[in-house]
Amino acid sequence: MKRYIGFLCLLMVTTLGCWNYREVEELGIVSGVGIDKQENTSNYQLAIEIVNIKGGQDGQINHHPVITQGQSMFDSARNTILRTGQRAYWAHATAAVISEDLARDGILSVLDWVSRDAEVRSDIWLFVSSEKDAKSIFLTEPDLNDLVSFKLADMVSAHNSVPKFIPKELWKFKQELSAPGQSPTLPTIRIVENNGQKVPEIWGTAVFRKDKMVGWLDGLESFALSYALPKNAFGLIILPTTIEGKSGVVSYEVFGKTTMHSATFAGNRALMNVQVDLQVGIADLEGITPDYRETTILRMLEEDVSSFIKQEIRQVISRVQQEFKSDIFGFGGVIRQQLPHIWKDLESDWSEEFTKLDVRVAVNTTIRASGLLTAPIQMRD
Amino acid sequence: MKAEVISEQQGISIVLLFILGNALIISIGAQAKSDIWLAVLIAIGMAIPVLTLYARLHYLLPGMDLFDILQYGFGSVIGRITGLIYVWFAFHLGSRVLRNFGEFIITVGLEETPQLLPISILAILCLWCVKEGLEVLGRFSNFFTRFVVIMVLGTSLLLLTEVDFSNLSPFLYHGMAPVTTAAFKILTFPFTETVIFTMVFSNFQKKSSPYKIYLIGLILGGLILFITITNEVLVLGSELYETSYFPGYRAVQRINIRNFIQRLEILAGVTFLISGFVQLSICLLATCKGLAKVLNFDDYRFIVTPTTFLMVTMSILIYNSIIEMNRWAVEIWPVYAAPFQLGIPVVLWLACELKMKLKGEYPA
Amino acid sequence: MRKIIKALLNPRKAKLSPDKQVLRGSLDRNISLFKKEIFAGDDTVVYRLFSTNNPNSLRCAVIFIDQMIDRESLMKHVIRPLMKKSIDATQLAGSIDYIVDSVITIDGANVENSLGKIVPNILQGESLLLIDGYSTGVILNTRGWAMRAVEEPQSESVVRGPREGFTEGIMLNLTLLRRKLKTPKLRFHLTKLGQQTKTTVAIAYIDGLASPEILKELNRRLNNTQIDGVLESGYIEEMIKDSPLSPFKTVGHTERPDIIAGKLLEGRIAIFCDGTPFVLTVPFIFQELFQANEDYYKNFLLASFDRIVRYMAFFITTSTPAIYLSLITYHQEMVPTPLLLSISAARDGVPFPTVFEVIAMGLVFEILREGGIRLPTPIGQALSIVGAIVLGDAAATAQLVSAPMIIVIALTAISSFAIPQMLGLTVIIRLIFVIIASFLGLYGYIFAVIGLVLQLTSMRSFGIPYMANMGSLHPQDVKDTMIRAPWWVMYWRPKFLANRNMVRQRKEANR
Repeated sequence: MKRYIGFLCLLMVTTLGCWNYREVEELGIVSGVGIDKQENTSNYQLAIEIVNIKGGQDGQINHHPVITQGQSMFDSARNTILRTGQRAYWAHATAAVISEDLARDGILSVLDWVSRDAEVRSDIWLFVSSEKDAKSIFLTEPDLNDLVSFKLADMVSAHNSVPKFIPKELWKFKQELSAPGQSPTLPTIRIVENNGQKVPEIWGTAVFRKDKMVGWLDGLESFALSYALPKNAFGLIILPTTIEGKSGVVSYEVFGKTTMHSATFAGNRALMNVQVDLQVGIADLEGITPDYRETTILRMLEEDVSSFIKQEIRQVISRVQQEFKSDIFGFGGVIRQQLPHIWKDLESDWSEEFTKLDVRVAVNTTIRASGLLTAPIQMRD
Repeated sequence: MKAEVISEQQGISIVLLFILGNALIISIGAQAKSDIWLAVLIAIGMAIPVLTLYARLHYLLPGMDLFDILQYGFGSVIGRITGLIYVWFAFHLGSRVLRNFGEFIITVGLEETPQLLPISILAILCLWCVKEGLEVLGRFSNFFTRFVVIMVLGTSLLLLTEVDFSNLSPFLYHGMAPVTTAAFKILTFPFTETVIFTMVFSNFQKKSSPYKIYLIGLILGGLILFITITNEVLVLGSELYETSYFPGYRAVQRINIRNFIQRLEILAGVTFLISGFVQLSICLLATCKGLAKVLNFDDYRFIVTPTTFLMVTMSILIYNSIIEMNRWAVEIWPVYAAPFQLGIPVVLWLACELKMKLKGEYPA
Repeated sequence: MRKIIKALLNPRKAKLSPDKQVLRGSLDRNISLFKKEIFAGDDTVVYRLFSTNNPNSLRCAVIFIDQMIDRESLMKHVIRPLMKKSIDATQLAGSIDYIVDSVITIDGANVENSLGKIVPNILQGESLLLIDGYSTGVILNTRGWAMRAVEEPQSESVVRGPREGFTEGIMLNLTLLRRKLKTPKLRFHLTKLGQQTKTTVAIAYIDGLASPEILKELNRRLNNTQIDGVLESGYIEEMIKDSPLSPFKTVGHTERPDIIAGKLLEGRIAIFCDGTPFVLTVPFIFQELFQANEDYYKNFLLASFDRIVRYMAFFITTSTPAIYLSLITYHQEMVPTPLLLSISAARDGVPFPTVFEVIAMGLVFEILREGGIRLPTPIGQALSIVGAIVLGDAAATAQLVSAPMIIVIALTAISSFAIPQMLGLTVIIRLIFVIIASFLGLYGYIFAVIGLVLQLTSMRSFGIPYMANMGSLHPQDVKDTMIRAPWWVMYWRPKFLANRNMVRQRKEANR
């Protein structure tokens, strides 16, 4: 046996070269990338945000995206070496922002490399830039020692509390793309001013049909969209309310939300049911003091919330049906699962059938809490 | 040379690890789409009689391995020729396993490393193991089984947060045909690949041991495979399952619990490497034992080294690329393997039963 | 060939060969035989000449080696009776037996005339009585020399448990064991090993528990050893162990009588060696590396936890450097992003590649440890301070090594102390792991682990598989491996050892 071990050592030493051996400080760790089409050419232009830590133990993060061009995604990614001397290391990339132009042309060509390459992880967050290009997102100024991509990732991880966009990981996007009866969406990023600084904000949704972007939903519509989808979403519901002649604003905080999609057979057509159950708490009363200890008033408030959400959801569904003709709700998938025999007829022409689909929305709200106060604050002379 | 006796626990461990081997990491039975779980269950069901048949051969002729049994059943000449074909089968299977290994390591981790290096290291480890004999392999498997099982079930458990049950419906959307095809493919890879054990096992502690070893090994291995594959489809969806070379690896990538327990892909690699090591050692052992038996050598140990290096060479030459490798595993293998795994054993069994009845040698 | 070399090395001995010679009739000739030939030039040999009292004075001599004997008992029980008592000449005629029977009062006295038997006995602290006119002498049991008292062994101290340890004297050691096992079935077999040292070696076992096959095999191996000197049981260990090239030990050793008693009760065999407190036990299997005697004295839950901790420590001490190395040089994608960034920041500016860092730091630690072991305690402390400050702080501040690396090495070092039985062994395993991991990353590491387990599973100790019980899931086998089950459920002795007499306790008795 010892002979073979000796042989092994010999093999290792003679074929020496630590092929994949890479020192960690030699890697250009990519945190995020903005993907654009170069103007007037068919080339790609990437704005690659590389974490550049200098200064040993208590180092500082240097914020500067590297701009590279190339004929394909892979080419442009490799070309970073020309600009930085470091090989870009993609496994820790958290965000990829795609420009609107590219998204409208078809996102598949971008995604192929990203999902084929073993280095890029499939849990990278995808965004569409609603600015003129994706590069500009990475040219905003985050705080000291922070990076745009990490900032975006932080926003995403807290999105449940502000469901004004629907975050999407690469694998989820691909799954939606390939699933029958489902079209994907991506969240969009815009740049806003904060204290004179330009900062990115995730707001709204880009709607795709197949892999091509077909339109936008703004933040409020995205809010309704996330209530229409069977996923976790909390956030606030702000309602102007008029009670006993006085009008004011009531803010509700959503504690729990369940959305159920089900397909039924009505006549000879499929009918989608979207059943939303909300559990909310009264978070803020402004301008009015409804005595919510009264059951009738409580029911009224609940009804208010239900009808508001219902209306919002209906609106967004009909807009998507009419304008975008893209089944971002996954209704087709539900029909496929629950009424497979009907799906076989609809499958071939689903994007057309989808626009004609009847959707019934039902919202049921329960007010469960009212913060620390048992009753509105009393005012007496 | 002392006969190598294997205990029931060790036997079950080897069979279990052998079944898991490559099947854990390579996509199998993808054409059943979302009904793959059913295909696995059917395959287990179909495998039970086949493995009972293998065990029956051991039971009928204790102390003999497949090569002896072939010579007993078919006579010396035909027995030797079929034995030689089986040697090829084991050799070829071993090369394939070795190549799968190499491709896995190169694809997911070390894309710049020459494939020969990990392959040779693994082959040399197997060479060592085979020289030590079946007993050592038994103890080795026995030692590692629990780790492999814990890791496989543990990753499945961690994936529970990512599970999406809609990936399993609609049930039988494409009808029963793809499911049965997939089930047959799963039967030939990995379940009845266990035919190779008939070449390796010969002495057992008890007379009923072969039944226990084959069937418990099959059911445990099948169950674990069922859990993992179902889990993979639940997590990835059948589309992604089908398009990935290594869906097990893809699924484990998805684990992310509070940003803390994440990036555990290597666990999939560990289980694959260990069970693949066992699989490869068994193939190598079968090849060497078979060669020794067919060519009438007393001991197989001296041909282990050349066989190993031949196998390494073969594994490099056998496919041009991973694309070809995948096609082989999915399309050609079931057809190619069926006579070895099902055809010849059935004929052999009938021949043996008949011969024993005629000779009146039936075991009590 | 061997004989010729031996003869060349010891020309005098070859010529004389005292084995063949016998005592003569004349006292003077006998004395000069010892003085001029056998012990020529040895000034530590004492020749005490005296005469008996009456009726007819006989010239006598006692020969012994200074400080090896108990002078008091020689004086009281041999010289005084001979000089004071009246000796009946008629009884004495012809045979020296009368002296042994009726005159001297010492407990051990043998009549002997072959020098081949006499000389080794003198060398072991017995005295030789010669009387003029007789060609036989009397070997007197006067052994007695200064010995270390029974103390707590330094290498295996305990919080709870007996504080006595073996000493250098084999007979005392056997007594210490006998006091724990008061059964007539406890057997001691004494033999001598070493052509020059003639070291007493005792095989101890409990009849009916120890496997006769293992006993036979042990005796065979002991009889086959041809060595000139046995100064410590380590000599015997290397001569009789299985897999002699493997760094894993297949023969156990301990300084504690309670451990030996426990092992004998499990059916093992102990080998005592004169001149060392370390007693060997065979067979020795892998799980024993993780057992401590205290496990059996304290609460079984805590003991089990400690044992699991030891297994973890083994994993950590062998694997952390390799895993760290492969994670940050091959599998950067597996490190959580913040951690990777901080490691990357810490590595920035460090001139050495990580592999070199790992190996060098590991070596430095080993040097520190090795340096500290044999130093007097105060200097040892100074050494550890220098080590801690120079390596831990200054090196990191000067960016010679990265801070995470120091953490890794420190973790490795601390863990290695949790399994003192494997101190040297873990270093080798760690090094191999690191080297292979530096080529193939974690896959290389796994290959190395497979290799390690293969090595372990292929080993045997006296026929017992080294990894016996380690993979088993049978409850009776698990009871003393990964965990220490409570005493009241350990009904059986380990089945791979004592399969003849399995019952350790009756179930009903405790329930």
